[in-house]
Amino acid sequence: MEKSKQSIRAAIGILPLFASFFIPATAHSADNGYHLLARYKLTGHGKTGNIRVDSEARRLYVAHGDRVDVLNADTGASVGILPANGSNDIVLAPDFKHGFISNGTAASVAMFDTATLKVVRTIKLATQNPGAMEYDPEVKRVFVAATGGVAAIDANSGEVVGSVPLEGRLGHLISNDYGRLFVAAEDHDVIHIVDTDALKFLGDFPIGTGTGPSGVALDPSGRRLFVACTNGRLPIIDTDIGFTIEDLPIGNGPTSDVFAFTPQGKGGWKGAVFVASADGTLSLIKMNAFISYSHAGEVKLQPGIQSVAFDSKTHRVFMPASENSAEILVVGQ
Amino acid sequence: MIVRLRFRVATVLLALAGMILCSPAFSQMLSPSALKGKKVLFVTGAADEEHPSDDPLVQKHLQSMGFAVTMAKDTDPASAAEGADLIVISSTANPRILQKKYAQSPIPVFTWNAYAYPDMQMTGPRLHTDYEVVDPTQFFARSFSELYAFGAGNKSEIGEAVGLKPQLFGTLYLQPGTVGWGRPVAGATIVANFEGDPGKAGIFAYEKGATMYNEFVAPARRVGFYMSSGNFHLLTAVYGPPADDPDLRDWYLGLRLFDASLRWAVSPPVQPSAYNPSKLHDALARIAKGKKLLFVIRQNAFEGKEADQHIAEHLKSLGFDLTIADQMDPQTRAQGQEAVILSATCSKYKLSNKYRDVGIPVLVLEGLFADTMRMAGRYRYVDYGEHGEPKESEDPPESYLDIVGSWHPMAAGLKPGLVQFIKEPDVLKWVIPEPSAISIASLPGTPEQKAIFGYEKGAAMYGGYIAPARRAVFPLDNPAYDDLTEQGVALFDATIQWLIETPSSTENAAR
Repeated sequence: MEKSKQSIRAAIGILPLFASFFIPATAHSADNGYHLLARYKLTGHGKTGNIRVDSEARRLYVAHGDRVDVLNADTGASVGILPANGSNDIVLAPDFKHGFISNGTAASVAMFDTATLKVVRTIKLATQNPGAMEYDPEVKRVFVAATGGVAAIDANSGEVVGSVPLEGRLGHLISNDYGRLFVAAEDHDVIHIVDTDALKFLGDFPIGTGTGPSGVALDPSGRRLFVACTNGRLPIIDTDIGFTIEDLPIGNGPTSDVFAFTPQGKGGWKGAVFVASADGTLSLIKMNAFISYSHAGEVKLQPGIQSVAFDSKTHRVFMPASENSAEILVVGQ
Repeated sequence: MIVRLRFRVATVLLALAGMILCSPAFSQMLSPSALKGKKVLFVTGAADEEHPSDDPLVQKHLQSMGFAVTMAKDTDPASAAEGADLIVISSTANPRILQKKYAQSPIPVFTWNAYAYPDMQMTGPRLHTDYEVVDPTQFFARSFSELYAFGAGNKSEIGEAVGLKPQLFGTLYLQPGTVGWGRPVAGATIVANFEGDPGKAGIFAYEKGATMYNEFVAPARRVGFYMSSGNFHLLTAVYGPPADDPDLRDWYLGLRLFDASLRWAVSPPVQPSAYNPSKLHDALARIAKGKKLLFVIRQNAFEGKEADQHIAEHLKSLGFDLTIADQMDPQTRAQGQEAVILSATCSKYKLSNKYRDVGIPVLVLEGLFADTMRMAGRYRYVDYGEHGEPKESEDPPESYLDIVGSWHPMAAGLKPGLVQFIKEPDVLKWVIPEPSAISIASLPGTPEQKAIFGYEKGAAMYGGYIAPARRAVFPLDNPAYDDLTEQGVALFDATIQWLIETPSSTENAAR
């Protein structure tokens, strides 16, 4: 079971537990080694949304308006295109070889076959504006943030199994794989907590000095929740007690994804967090210990980046951008 | 009929409210909403790059509580506090610059600047003995200990405001941080202490009028708090669904204790009654009338028999329904009674552990019973002892007591300082009680040796034993009652009055 969960995590590029990714312990903004390596141009128009990487299949999935672009993660070559309708996010459910696209303007979610890249079912939602999504392998459900709450979809059948009413404009969401879903409430300055099994709202965590929480990431081992806020703060919350243990500076503006990984062992950082902010800043947060994090530099990119995906095989970071033309920024050492 | 009943109920309620509000001992913590607009002078110092300061966070937090905050530097004159309701002194303020600037201020002071404790007269002057700052750079291992504190003052008003229990709780979030403690004196209330040392206080308070270090009388409330410049943001708290778990709520108390301490500091202090023995006597007689009181003595005692008779006569004259029991009678004699007084004529050895567990108030007239009653430790002449007993004490006989808790009803309205207790120097017993005790009087020259003190019902006594009901010690060695001065009788009456009153926040407000 554990192995299965890890492979899922690696596949969607959120928490590659076995990544051998090395960052010098002395890295700072001037010498953290991160720089722009490549730009993958996208065809078509429209604003890009979230990005996901499937490291095993070497694919990138990029939400891109009326489509989802599927690219070769190593070359940027197009592998295919999935139809969409105001696409916001993509998640993969490797257990069932399914992918899901949130169609923001159609109040629906498309379930597709990751082998054939064909849509196999369109799931109508009772709520409008489906946005960020999260797959929880424990309950095998896809959670979709939409207006008024979160919908839960069975990742195998594509059936909507329930929903949880939540207040506020919902941002990104993430599960801890043992019963809790954390949902950023952008205009309420809190994190909503949802029981993933009972589909019940449990309460809120405050977010320190942060305002406008949009992106969240979780280090499940340390049980730390990283909340990227539009006011340029990154509260780090101990999810056991809802306590903000650190509150670090990041770039300004909304961010739809934050990426975190767990300890890397001797010689490297103990852990790291990447935050892509709309002002064009890729912020690097270094974990010194589970109770201590520090700002470890930043990479200045172009405005408009918001989503970040980490490739556990190449240790590169991918960020969609659409200031001038739609493209994927590839950053690495 | 119903209307008449309602009218009577309303009349009684109004009368009760009137009694409470008019009571000179009445004190009540302001509600959180009542803090709005209260003026705080926040005294800070220069920022230190190596030790980041949370002063801006504290300022914001104070404002979020409703306080109107004015910032001041440690170099500003004391007059900066004019018009303020509370002075808050950060540990960033340089104590060498502050010196005694705010010590005499009639405005309450709340501080986490442990180095300022001596000049504020909150502790003695000896670093590492009377106060200390435990910095993980210097004391790495010890700094882990300070992540935990014991809720010694669970019945203090600060403690009650947060539901403090006599058990460990988390002070700062996980990582060892800089923590200060002080060893307050005589009249202080210790809310939380460190490292199993009852006097090593992380949070402590002085009521206005309480005796501070070097016989200095608190001009207003004073509170010391354990945190340091850069760790306000690490004061423990729990949020969201985990906050529904009572065990977690009881553990992550740091921020709530900070808020409650602030709230207590800025609340109106206890206004003690003026010393008036006859008024006190009459007040006691009113509540004593018909109360069932068990007086346990040694029948036919060789010494003190006459004094016991006079005590009994006094109690009867007050209106008590008095029952006399012998020391060898079973504890069941206390059944149906409303309070017990243990005479000093009783033999400690023969009395055994009786009356320790009774769920009614007990007044102990013999300090040497302190360990069997779980009111102090067991080391004779260390935890309890006596002055003036030729064979057992190096200290001379004494006739004076030092009032250190003048604010409390048990002090009978007497002023802080020395009062003549008995007419001639004689044996006087003392006890070093737990920090949760309410200290009223010490023996002169030995402030830690308490002659009159009490425990509130529910307070943690020695070894964590929870007081089943109020407990008090009053030093009436065998014949001493007949030698009491007028002040001594007043103290006796006041102690009994407190003992038999229903426990409420009106009496323990400042503790």
